[in-house]
Amino acid sequence: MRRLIALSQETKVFLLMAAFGFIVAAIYWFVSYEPAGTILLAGFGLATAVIALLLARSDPTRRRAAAPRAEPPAPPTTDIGQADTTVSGTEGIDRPFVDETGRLPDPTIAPFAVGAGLALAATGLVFGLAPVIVGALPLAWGAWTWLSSAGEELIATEVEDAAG
Amino acid sequence: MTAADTPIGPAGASGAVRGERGDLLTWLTTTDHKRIGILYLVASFGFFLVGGLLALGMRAELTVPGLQFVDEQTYDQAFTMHGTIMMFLFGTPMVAAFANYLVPLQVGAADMVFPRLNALSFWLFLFGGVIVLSGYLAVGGAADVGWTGYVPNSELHFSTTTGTDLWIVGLALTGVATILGAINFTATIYGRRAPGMSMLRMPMFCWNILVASILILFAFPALTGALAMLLFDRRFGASFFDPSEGGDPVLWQHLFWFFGHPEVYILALPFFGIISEVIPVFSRKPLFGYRAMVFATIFIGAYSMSVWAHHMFTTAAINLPFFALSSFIIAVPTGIKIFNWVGTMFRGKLTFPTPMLFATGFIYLFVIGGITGVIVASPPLDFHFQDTYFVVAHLHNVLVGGSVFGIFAGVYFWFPKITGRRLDERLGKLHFWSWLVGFILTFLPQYQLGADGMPRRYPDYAANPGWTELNAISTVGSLLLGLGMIPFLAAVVLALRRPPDQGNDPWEANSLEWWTTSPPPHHNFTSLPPIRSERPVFDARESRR
Amino acid sequence: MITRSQRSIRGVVLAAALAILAAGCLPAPATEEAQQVTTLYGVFVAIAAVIALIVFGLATWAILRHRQKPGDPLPDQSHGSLRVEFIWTAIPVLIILGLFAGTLAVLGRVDAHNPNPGVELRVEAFRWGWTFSYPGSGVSVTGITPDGPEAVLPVGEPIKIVVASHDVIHAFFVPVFLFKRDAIPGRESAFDVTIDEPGTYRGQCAEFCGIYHSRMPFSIRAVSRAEFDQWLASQPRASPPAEGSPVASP
Repeated sequence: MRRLIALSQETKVFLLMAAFGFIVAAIYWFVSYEPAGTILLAGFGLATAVIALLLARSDPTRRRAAAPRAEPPAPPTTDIGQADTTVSGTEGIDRPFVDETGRLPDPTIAPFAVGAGLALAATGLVFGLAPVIVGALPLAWGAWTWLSSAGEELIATEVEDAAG
Repeated sequence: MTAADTPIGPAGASGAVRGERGDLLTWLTTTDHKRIGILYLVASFGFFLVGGLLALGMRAELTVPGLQFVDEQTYDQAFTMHGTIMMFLFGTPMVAAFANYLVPLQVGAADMVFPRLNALSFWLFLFGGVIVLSGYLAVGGAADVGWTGYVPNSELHFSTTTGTDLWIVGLALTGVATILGAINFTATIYGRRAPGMSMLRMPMFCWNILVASILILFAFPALTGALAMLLFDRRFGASFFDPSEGGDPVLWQHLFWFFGHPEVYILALPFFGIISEVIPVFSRKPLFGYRAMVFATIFIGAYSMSVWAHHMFTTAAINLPFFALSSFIIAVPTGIKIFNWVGTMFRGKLTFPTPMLFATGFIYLFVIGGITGVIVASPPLDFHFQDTYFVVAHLHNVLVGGSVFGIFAGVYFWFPKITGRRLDERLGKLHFWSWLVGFILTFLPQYQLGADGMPRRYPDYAANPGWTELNAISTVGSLLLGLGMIPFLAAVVLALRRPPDQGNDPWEANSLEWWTTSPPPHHNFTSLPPIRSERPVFDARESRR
Repeated sequence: MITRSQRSIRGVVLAAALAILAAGCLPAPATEEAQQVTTLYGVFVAIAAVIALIVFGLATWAILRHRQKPGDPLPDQSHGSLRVEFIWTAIPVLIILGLFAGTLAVLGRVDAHNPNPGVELRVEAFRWGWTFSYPGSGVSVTGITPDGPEAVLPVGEPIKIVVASHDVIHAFFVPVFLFKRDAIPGRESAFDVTIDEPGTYRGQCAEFCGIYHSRMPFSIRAVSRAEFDQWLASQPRASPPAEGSPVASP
């Protein structure tokens, strides 16, 4: 019970949804014996439960509890958030799940190409093979550009981090 | 005292960004959440105008009994496309528009967690929407099955047009786009909040987006599944919904409404969030009962997953008391929200610029929509009202009087942040009053028509006593709604022709987006105020006084 | 001299009347079930009117009285009040439970099935028309006229109506019955009505069923039992009775 209370708000939101899904699915089944709705409700409960579980595992509160002094205060590179370091509330539950500084990707046409290719290819379900072939070209090119530029940026980031 | 007198946050250090207009390529290649938000805003507004014109066409046809302007086929396509556009190509992407622009700013982040995915989400939505509309070019015309696409009427045997297939494919694509967006919003809210911003210091808009995103994640897959099954039935000889082959038409309704009712809240919660941002600012008070609002939002979100079959009361295939009770219960947290908004206004210091006018109008109209919602949630009453104009009036009461008023409140409120310019107040007031009066004239008579038993989706109706008059009033009202868009569009055009002149915080507002410049620089923030409450900018402003 | 409470009662009555005007008055009910529905609707609308009056009143009061004047200081920065919030959560919960109880009571009546109905009427919907038949008698009426077919039914006794469909989903809707039921292919569903007023009542299809959805009218003529028997006897009898209908059985 104490561990449940110690969970972060983020986890609790999904946990609440999961509990709701399972409870209502059970009630619904016994009042109606209707399979479609029961499966949908239980599916909702299961899916939110999976997310709640994943969140609970990467919960910053839990991490901190396990290793209370492992994390040195991050040296701020800009003054983002600096003003608040005096507030005790920034510790523990106030910390979001990912602490990235937020590097922004360069402009890229790849999402547009992937979107256009995917949309064109999808009309193949109606018009046959031709739009699938035509759509596959921008789709493949866009996906390749996307992944390679993301990879390059990742390497550049790592180099920068190692240097800095 | 205006914000220009006491500038808080960084001064206009982003001159380069301010002057930047951007050519076509900039927009096609952008991964900036603010630009993507603007793209969503403009695109969904374009779809709104198309859907609105279809509605005006239908109202024109219904002014008097008989067929004057269109035949049945055209009318069926018009109400199908009107509903589809307003739900999927205007309402849902409008949520993405506001969420894209505001969530990173309100949580103090530089961008979304997945900026490129965000761009993909927009393009998928846009192309999906174009595919849906392209049905009008297809042999046989656009989809003619209603936005709910009930089987077997939407099976190939009964709806032969290719437009219906394009409708399915386009909607599936926009559904995927919406899911990608929801992943991004959830991840950004969970992963990119500025230090100090605990979940319970998050702006109410972000809470509403979070819950709406969760609903999207678990409701839209049901729609995608149902659409895939229908496409298999139509194109590849499956018979999921064909009773003569052992399929079940009621299954479609379960799947569709398991998506469809959360969808109603996906289209409502974010705009509740906008109202929750606007009313405190113009009441000069914090939101009344912040924690109760958070709880009500989560409660509405969870409960909206278990009310779907109140759309199916007349099928005699579902458990009536279960869905009646759960639909009634959802009125309680919705009521809490309304009471809390009124409580925020109470004993405040109210001012009424256009965003506040729309927010106040929202409260009045939404109360009517909520109350009629409780009426149709009672099965014995719904047996009469189902598929009549009463339901049409109720749903427009919630989605137009609620969501669209919320959207306009948001557009007037954040326009200075997005463009650095304020929309003209006189044109805004003209817009508001024509919409308020137009709304009342258009939709309140429809309650009486529905009570009298006028069915929806009829291009022609019997000349029963009073019906012609009520329909004529409704059509005049819709004309007023249409004309009301002119001052709005004029205000936008006039504002964009002026140089930007708004400071960081023209309204003396509360949340972080008002800390940075208008419009914000590419990285959003060069500094952040301390975050000790859900109103960091208010705290910073007051501590300087 | 009007007392304060009398005045407030008048206010509530007036509000209820206004709300019914806004929300719409129902047509005069023609069945026993519909009378119950009308009563239930009246209760819902009256409560709705009171709630709307309270919310509108408070909001309007705030709009009129709590305006900012130039030079005003910030108002009291109240973050809420647990007591007030508890009250406006608890009262709606009680109202909702009351409305649910009323709903269940009327639903029990509307959804009731009499084991010995006086007459059974079978309604088969198709694109775009109706076939009415009387199982066991061999009488069947199909009308493609602009006014649609007419079913004759006796007043004052429970009638079982069975709804089915040949193709897509339709809905059997008679406004003065304040009732409709979907006609779903592959399923049959039944409900009871007891008509208490003789007369001819219009009906129509209420579930979108394709291009001529709006051209599926029909009518119900309610007559005395004697007239009904006379009418039934005078009808031509088709050889295939209703059992041989092509409707797919579930």
